[in-house]
Amino acid sequence: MSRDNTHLAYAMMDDVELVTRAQQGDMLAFEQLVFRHDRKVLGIAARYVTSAEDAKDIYQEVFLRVYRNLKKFRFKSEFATWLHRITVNVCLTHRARGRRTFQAHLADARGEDDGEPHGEIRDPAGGPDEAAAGADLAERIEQALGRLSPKQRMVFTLRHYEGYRLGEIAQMMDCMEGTVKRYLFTATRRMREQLKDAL
Amino acid sequence: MKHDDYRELVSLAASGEIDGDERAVLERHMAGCAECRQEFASLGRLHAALTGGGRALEVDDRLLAEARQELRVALRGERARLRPWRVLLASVRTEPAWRLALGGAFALACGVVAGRTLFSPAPGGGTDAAPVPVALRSAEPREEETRITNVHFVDHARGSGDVEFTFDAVTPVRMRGSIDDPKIQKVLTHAMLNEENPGVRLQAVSALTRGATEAQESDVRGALIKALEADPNVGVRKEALNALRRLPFDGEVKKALLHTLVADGNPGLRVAAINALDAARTGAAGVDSDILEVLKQKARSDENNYIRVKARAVIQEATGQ
Repeated sequence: MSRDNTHLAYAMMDDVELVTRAQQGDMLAFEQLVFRHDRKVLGIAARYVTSAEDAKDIYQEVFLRVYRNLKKFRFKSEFATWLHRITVNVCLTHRARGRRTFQAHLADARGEDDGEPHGEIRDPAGGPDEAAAGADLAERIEQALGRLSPKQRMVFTLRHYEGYRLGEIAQMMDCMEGTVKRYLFTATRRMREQLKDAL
Repeated sequence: MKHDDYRELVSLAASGEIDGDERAVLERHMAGCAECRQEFASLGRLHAALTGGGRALEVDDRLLAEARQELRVALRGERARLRPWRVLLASVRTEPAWRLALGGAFALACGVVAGRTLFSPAPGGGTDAAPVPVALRSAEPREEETRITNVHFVDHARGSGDVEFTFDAVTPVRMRGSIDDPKIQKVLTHAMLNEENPGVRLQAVSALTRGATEAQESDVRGALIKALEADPNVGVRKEALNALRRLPFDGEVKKALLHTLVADGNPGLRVAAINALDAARTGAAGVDSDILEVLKQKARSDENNYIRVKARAVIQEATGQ
């Protein structure tokens, strides 16, 4: 195919063909895949973190990982599912790196999973009471989300803001649907507890 | 089923995540359980608050465009990092002792190689008596400022006393001449496509577009198209697009503008591209099937409201539909 016609032809290709071409080193195909899916990726990142710079960092890391690993993609799932799984992993890792500063070595020593909240990470006002005082509902929601564990927050975000079903979230997070249900249940309970005086 | 199990079902029901059987079980339970009814109502308020409250950070076009630009730069670095020759070079190890011992040899070799590189006639340039291009008459290499970089040993040849290595000899050259001169244009075109500094690339585009003549137009046009399609800096792409608008509208320019309209992450550039296509249309170039196809796509799905409206307007004017 000549370069002259690519901008039209590539826009019409489905993901399978674009991935196949990109696996052979076709950068235009890769770029088309980025353009097709990147708003969703940035949306998940932007809802998961609170800073635009963090969201862009996650976005970039996601697509660099896709670029580096695309040749290993074997079409066992939809490309979008694979991409969103990478997005979820990068988000979780992104937060895990931040959390390490505070208490990761203690958790590692105890062999803990992240089933418990880590409220000290994103509490901008230094304490729940101070943070809540004078904050509007959006800020309260933001703070409450920040006190969830990364996986709870990810499940909650994907379900309530991105509209994914639990089965889809389980695929993205590479775990059982029952586990996702448990995360969602715990996250919802904690959110409600923290927002009870605002509801 | 324990009461805690019903509470979990209530939570899932509020999220719309239970099936018909579970819903029937839960409804039967809730009919007799005030606590679960209250829980369900409370969760309903929570979901309403989440929907209405929103989140602090929304994805907007500006943020997406920035992310795309930064990704382009990162991918360029990634591709460079993965080039095989870099891997090979990385495997070559220089030894400090050899570098010290061969310092003098470097200096001598550098002088010889730099001199041959800078002052040998161009391929096909003929003999010493051949006319020297205007631009080259004013090109002044400052040999004393030659910098030697990227020295890599190829073979230590310990037994013979010979050594073999590669290096880059970088010498500043001052060049002065008409912008119409092909040699000047060649250097500027190279700068436009390869300089790391976006300011230099921008200046190169500006300079080139002031001087493109009929004879060199296609080379310059090709470089401008490459810059428009691939330069990571939006200012350079914008300047390249403006320059292309001043050149005759042909198939190459049309396709570059269409590529920008389809693929560029910057809405300002997409607006400029659709305006340029519209101007070309009214300037008798017309609207062919390629343009029409893209315009229909943009009218349906571009993130930018102006582009959607403009695309519809152009389609309407061009087809009467």
